[in-house]
Amino acid sequence: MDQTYCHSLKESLVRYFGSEIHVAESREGCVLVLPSKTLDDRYLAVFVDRKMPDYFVVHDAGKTSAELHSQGVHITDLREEAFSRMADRLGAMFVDGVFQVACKQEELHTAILAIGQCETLGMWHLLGHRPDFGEEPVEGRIERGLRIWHPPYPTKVQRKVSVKGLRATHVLDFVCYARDEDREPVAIKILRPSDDSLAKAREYGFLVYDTERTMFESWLRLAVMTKADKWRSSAKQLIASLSTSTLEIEAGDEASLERRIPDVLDQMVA
Amino acid sequence: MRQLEVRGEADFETEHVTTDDYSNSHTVILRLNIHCKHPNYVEGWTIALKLHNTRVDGFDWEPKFLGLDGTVRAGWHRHIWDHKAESAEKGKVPMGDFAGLKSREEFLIRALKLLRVDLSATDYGSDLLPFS
Repeated sequence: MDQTYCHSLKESLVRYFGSEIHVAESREGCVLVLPSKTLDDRYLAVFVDRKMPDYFVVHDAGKTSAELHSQGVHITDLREEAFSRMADRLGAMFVDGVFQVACKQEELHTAILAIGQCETLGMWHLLGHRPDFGEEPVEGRIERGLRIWHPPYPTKVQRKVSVKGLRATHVLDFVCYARDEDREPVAIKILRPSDDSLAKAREYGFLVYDTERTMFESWLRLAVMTKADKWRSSAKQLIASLSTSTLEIEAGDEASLERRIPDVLDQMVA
Repeated sequence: MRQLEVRGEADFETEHVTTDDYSNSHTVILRLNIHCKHPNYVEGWTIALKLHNTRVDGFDWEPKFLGLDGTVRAGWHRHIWDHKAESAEKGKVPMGDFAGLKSREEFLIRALKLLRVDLSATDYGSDLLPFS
């Protein structure tokens, strides 16, 4: 190809970059807008914080993980590891949800481009994300199941019961109290796997551990797990180990809850 | 707030009864995703209200984006649901309400108020956040 043309192409591209790169002040330093877009149609924003005269921290302000979270993609352990490895290959780090590089003046341009690359590649997870229309409400069905149930003793059911743990207040979806007899209440917690089932299981684990050594410790616990196939086996194991009983509901089979709830409760209070 | 301070993110979900265009009521699952991972990087904070695992409303910050009128804007904005596109990803309306944010709590208070989301006082405490 004509060498003159190649040179002019380079020059026009340099001019284009020059006119399209914008810079503004951020709280801690500068924010650069690069002429490139992420998969969710955002301009790349790279933050440069000057910590000392010749020491900079270049980062994405956690925008990549925040935007993924906003759109329903959670940073699971697996994704975090993938991000760390990707950042490492590009000469950056992924720490506390932020892509970042600490560098000197002479490495600044490379660092800016590395963070830009991390931001572009990081949004790749969006491609596998789809709206989920299959999520069925289950509270009403559980409530109807509780009405059908014939417990061996008189009971009273309460919705949305707050229990005070040692560090936080938690909400149980239903609690079935015995009216007269000295029996422990049965607490029902609905667990939806969301995008990160292990995080959900850990959240439930926090509820259980936080209510240990309180009056709620001895309550019987039933965990109703929706969309059974979306739970990782480690998450299922964790929940099972923390519950008196679990009830797994396949997606599309939510109607069976009304029938299954009485059976499970019968077994729990037997 | 405690969860947000410790983990830098928090998710809430609730079953909500809503009415469609034909006056039929439906129970749907709404989720609120809050992300404030780094306490100092305010520009990285986001809040999103999701239906069917898709953002339908929310706030975040971008140094450059196209507003609804096609002009180039910068800063905090709200994601507005576009019926035609069935998405809230591109409908961005600038919001001056987040200028001078100092803390995650302040962000939450302002964002929840604008989203008209009330938290249950018995479930989540009773400080400055909007409670019902």
